Amino acid sequence: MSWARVYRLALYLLPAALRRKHGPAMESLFARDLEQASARGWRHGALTAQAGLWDVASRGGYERLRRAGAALERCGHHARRYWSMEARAGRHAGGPLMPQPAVRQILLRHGSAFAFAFVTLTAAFLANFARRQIPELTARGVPAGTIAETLLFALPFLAALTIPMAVFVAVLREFIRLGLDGTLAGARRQRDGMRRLVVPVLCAAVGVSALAFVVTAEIVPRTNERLATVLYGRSAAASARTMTISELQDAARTVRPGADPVDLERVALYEVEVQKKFALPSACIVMALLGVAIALGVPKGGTGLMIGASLVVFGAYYVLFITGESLATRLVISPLLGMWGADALLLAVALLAVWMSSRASSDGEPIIIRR
Amino acid sequence: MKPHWFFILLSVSGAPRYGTAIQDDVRELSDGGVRLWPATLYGSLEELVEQGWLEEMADDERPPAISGRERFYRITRAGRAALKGEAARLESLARVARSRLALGGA
Repeated sequence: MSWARVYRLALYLLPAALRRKHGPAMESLFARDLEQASARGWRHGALTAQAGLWDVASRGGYERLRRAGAALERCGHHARRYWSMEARAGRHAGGPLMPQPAVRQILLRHGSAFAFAFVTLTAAFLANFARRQIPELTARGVPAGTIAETLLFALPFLAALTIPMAVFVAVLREFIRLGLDGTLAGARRQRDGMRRLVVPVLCAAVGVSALAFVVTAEIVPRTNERLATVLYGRSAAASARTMTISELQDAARTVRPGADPVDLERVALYEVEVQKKFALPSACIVMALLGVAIALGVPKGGTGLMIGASLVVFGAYYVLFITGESLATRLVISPLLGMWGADALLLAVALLAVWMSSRASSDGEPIIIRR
Repeated sequence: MKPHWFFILLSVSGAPRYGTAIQDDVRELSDGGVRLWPATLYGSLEELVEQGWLEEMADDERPPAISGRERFYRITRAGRAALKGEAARLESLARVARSRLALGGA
């Protein structure tokens, strides 16, 4: 997959109106910048490509936050008008039912929350990576430009980890907010109310998962290769983490049947890496469902619930994931089970929690009486 | 005013320009110090149009001999006033900085 194609996909991070109007011009400008930079060497080309992609991602987050802010301001204006009308009519006993937000509004809010969470989490992970690597690289006399390059090349594999996390934080935060303002309670009393809230979010999670797959399958192996060269000084004799899916499958096929345990472990490692490239992006969908489930189960939760749940969920997911990877590479369990076990377990927990909260909601919610 | 807004307005104040030309002009104005990446550039152009400081030229007003796909932008009166105000602010800031540095060196 070429940088131009990746850039075209990345443009979907921008609001649709901006993308439709200026997308071709942005692609053309990016191609020109890339061509000019590549003429100075592949490193310049790669740095330019990554900077261009980061520009799209950060601008996408900024645009959505800006528009969400304007939309919320308009919402607040309408809500203030609504409240004042209701107050004048004397119809505020028990509070008015909040109108169901439109699909576009739901996605806008989740998108802004996701962008903010993604940027924050990735920045935190990058800061941690820099804290560990910079002293060692500086001690080795690595030039500042190369150190900056290292941080840029680290971004994709960090993003592969933070994308599912950001999905969870965004969904949990928005559904907690919907719980606090009464929208969830109202939706439960309406036919298809919950479906209209949850389905768009899950569809968006599928989209994010697809984007995460592109990052994990195509971008991360290439940037890991560059990273390994800088960090470990070797001109990458390909390791499993620097290979694309097709390269891993080809490498696994070179090991003949009946090979010794070392070769079998190598095959398992390749298979684990292949499954990882599917399982990690799929976690976005599981995380979205889990966020909905937790918010439904604790409708009056606040920031404390968000932070506590995030720590527990991330901790559990990554412990399960890493344990599964370790067991699979040592041939204790199959690579399929090792890599998908965490997703499957959390999915089961999420579905169970949703089922339990849907049963609880049918056992006599207080009905808001409008006079 | 955001620095890249200032440079975009400065670039367009001389003559109506399209995106790529604005990027090249800004790089030249800033001696390579300011680089407008595509998403930032076009996002900022839209913001400046919303702000009323830039306007998009109609098809029949575009300069001749251009392919016709580019969108040309020109500065509005409000944009020119904002640019003048920002230039005056920067000039005043530069004056203060120079006098403080002169005092510190004395």
